[in-house]
Amino acid sequence: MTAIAEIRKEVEQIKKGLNDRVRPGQPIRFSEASAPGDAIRQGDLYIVVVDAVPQKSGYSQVEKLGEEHRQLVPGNTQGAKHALDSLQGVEMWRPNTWNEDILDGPYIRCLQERTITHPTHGAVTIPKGFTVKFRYQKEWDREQEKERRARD
Amino acid sequence: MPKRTIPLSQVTADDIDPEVCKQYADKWLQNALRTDQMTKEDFEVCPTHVVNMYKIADLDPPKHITYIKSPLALAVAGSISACLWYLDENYAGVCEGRENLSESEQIRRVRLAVPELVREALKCDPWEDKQNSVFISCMRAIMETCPPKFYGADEIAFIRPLETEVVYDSYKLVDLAKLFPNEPAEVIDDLENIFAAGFKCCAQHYDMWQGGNQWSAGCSFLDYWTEEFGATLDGKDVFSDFRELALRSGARIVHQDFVIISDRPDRLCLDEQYRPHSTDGPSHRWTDGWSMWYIDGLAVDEQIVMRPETQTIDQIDGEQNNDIRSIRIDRFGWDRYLIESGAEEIDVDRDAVSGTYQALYRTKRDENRLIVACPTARMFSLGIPATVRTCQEAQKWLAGDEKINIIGAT
Repeated sequence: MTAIAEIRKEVEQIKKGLNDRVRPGQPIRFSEASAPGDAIRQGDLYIVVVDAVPQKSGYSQVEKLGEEHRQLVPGNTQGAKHALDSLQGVEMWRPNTWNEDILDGPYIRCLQERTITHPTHGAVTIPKGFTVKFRYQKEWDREQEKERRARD
Repeated sequence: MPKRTIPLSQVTADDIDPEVCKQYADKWLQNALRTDQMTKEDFEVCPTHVVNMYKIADLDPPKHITYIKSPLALAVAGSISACLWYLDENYAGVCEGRENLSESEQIRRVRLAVPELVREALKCDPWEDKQNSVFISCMRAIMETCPPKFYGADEIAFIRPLETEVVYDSYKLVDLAKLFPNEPAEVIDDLENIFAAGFKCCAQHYDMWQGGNQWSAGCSFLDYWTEEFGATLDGKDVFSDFRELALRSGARIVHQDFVIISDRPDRLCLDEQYRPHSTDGPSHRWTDGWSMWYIDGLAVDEQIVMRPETQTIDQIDGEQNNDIRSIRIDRFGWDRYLIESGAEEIDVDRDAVSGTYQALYRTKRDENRLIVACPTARMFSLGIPATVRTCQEAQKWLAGDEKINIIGAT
């Protein structure tokens, strides 16, 4: 059987809930034992545990969090709707440039447990006390001959 | 009379019966999904409810109330009619330096601009009005609702048919000087200013928008609280007329001087998750022909749904949205996609997180494609630089070449 046929078969199994490791919409929670560098992939968003928010240029702490800060990926497509369930107990550092071309997203420090939701992917829960950064999956654009942010 | 006699301020969670809530939710869900057309009775009764709503808001009744078939025609006709009401009073505000222009010349210039403006506004939607049906529908509604000095009754018969393709380029704003070669530069300037004002109104049409049956979700809550507990606003029943309109019609544009009411779609196809979805025709269609094409809740186009085999590899690989690219290939055929891409398998292994197969292909265009199974039960084809040689390297590259340990995927 060709690789494509194998992958297609596995997609069918995922659809039917027969894959024992991944299920459509399956929620995941970082274990309290997670270490810096551990990451969960929610579609094209990588949620990466870090020690602390690095003091690096190009980032600023958001002074007053508003509803718009719940969305963690710039853009209006369905794929950009990775969102925090609430901003309560959240401190956030955002890149100073916030547009659809960036590959590095915000950092958040969770003073209480928070969940990241998405319309098609499962929710990802971040335990209280964790600091995470968000990174966007990239993709090679042959036409432009450069990498760009993947979008769905 | 409300069914319950508890004052609203004293209602607790114990007073809310989930079964009763579900009845309201079901009623309004059915209303949102209706595809039957407005009846004679609906057409007769809606104006009364509109006038009542204006009365509740302490406004004079609108001067004109008319109907239209689709929300696209509604948005365009309502916006341009609103623009004409503004131009009626402020021609010189839109077209600077024309304080002394005669009214008859103002009217002539507006009438030159309006049909072209409607055509341009319709081009903003990817659906093509090949039959001119939405255009005619818009013009009729504009004529019926704009200040009467601009259009007399029954003028719809004199609307010019669609011009040649040379003038109407889908991607460019119409060249007004080319379209009206005999008009002096001053008139062309005015037409351009009227266009700018018209587009501004189109861009802000939602300020005048009320969703009718499309706003059934909000109505379900208001219906529950008014029917079950007698909710009012400052002692006034402000919801009854709004509810009747939502039950009898589609979206409407509500302006100080006019109201245009649209009908419901005649085709609406959803999947089991209530997402718009159809693989054998448009997911939404209104009786003037305006259609929308969706698969799995994602906006696609007619070609992807009806003629997927005619797609090219350039169209597929050039698609920026991964979900839509996946749909494109599903419908084109994965095997054919790989053959026509000239793809050669260079690595196959199992994804460390999901345990599913993934494969890396080199295409004849000197790039790689990583084919993966997503936890959302979709196959993706991801662009990877030609320098990457294995699936593992490709996954690392996608993540930004950082040293991270992926412990889960969803």
